Amino acid sequence: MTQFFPIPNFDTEIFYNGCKHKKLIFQKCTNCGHIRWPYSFACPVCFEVDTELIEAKGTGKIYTFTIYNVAFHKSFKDKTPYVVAVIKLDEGPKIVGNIIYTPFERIKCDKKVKVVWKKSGDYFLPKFKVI
Amino acid sequence: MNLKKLKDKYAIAGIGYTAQGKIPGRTAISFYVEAGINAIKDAGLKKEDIDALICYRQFNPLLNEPTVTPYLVAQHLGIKPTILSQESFCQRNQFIQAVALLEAGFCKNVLIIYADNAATGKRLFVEEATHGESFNDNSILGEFGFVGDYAMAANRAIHEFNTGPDTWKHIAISQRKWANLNPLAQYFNSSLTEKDYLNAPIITEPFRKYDAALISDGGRACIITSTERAKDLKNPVVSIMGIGEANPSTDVHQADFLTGSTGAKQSGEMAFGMAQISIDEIDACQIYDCFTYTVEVTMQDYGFFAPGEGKDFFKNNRTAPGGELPLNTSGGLLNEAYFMGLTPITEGVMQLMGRCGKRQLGKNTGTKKPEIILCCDNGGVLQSHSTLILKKL
Repeated sequence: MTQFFPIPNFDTEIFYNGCKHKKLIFQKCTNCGHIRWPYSFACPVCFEVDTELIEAKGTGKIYTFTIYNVAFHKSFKDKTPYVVAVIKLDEGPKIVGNIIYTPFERIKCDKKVKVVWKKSGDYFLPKFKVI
Repeated sequence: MNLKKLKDKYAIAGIGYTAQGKIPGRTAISFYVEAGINAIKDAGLKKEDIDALICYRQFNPLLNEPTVTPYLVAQHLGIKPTILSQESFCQRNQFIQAVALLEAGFCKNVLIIYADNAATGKRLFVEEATHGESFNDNSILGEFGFVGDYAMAANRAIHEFNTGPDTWKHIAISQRKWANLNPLAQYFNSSLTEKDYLNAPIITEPFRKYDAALISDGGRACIITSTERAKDLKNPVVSIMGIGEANPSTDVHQADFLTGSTGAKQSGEMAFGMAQISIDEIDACQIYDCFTYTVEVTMQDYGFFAPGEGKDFFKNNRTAPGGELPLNTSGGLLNEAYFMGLTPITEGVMQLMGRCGKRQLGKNTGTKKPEIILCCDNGGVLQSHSTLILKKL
């Protein structure tokens, strides 16, 4: 059965290399300070190209979420129901992640979450649990 | 931007239908050809008159069949248009593009088509989702396409303005009532009660089965030309009184407009500004309804009610047959068939032409005979929006 594992590209390798070491790494604009995601060549706020890399603490809030009761791919057939959420990290970026180790009734928008790392192929992937 | 000079200057002069619903044994291109020919004939034009062909996005072929390129559509229709176009990621630019090309004088008669064999080919609309991330990056997380993406938009709306199934059930049930007056609708002769709605399986929380659009075989097409030329053609003249477009663009994962203002606000302001009317003058609405929530947030952004007031707005059959503001009178994408924005827009045209049979607004349905209908189209996950205000001249 096909399963999906991280496959970094030229843009996402910074993020996924961080994930190897259980770190959430993002670009921060050296001009305006905007922390951006997804990775981009230039700052979408001010067009500055120079960045420094920062590590996010791994805490944030659920911006929104959904619970998949239906598997749209065979590799998820035995995983439903599962939660996909948009997490707004305290540093600013919104990233997509699964919420685990949390009863569904506790999963609500704006609930605080923290990162939980789970092995996925050669990488760890950031998952989140409600705190 | 002064668009007032374009008011009522262009018209939709013909509509092309095909067999629709579950139609086994047909390629996607066959529906393009059928829809295109029928639109040309319906307008009373010849194929030589078509000098612009604009296709909606065609997804990857599902069966053993060719990819539908605009070249292939033109070839099968036996035309060599001056202008040939097809969008790639569901930007809803077809109608503004047509009006702009006509106004600039590059062409005289524009044919717009969408078709697919999605029902027979079992299209899941998973790989078609157009995210900023790679397909693999989302698949690792089990994030698969539009049904989950719009569900995330809707869950945020539940949090921000307390909407939910109590609002959406009215939309689903009212539109089903319209479908029961439309023999072409996939849900014709099929009732939907509140109990049916609420007991239906939840696909992606908070959406139940009847919150989501149909998957259809078939196609739809229409012809846009100048109002002046349309007056010499077969059908009653339905003009474009106002038109607008907006592209908020940002992916659902980073978007800040999932609960409004969506593109409907900016696009609507452009269209109403051009038409120089207010929403009070709208007799009926044909609103892109990929999900029930899309109808709610769109109507909210057009200014029909304040955030969270949808629950009251849609109740008591207000938008159902006989109600004061008929909405999605063919049954819509939820109940008639899924042909992107051409499902709502062509229905607006057909209503104004007076060609809708049992569902015809006016005395057949106990409502006002319509003069002005608000139509819209939406693409991506609320990333693109276009508005058309149509008028019977």
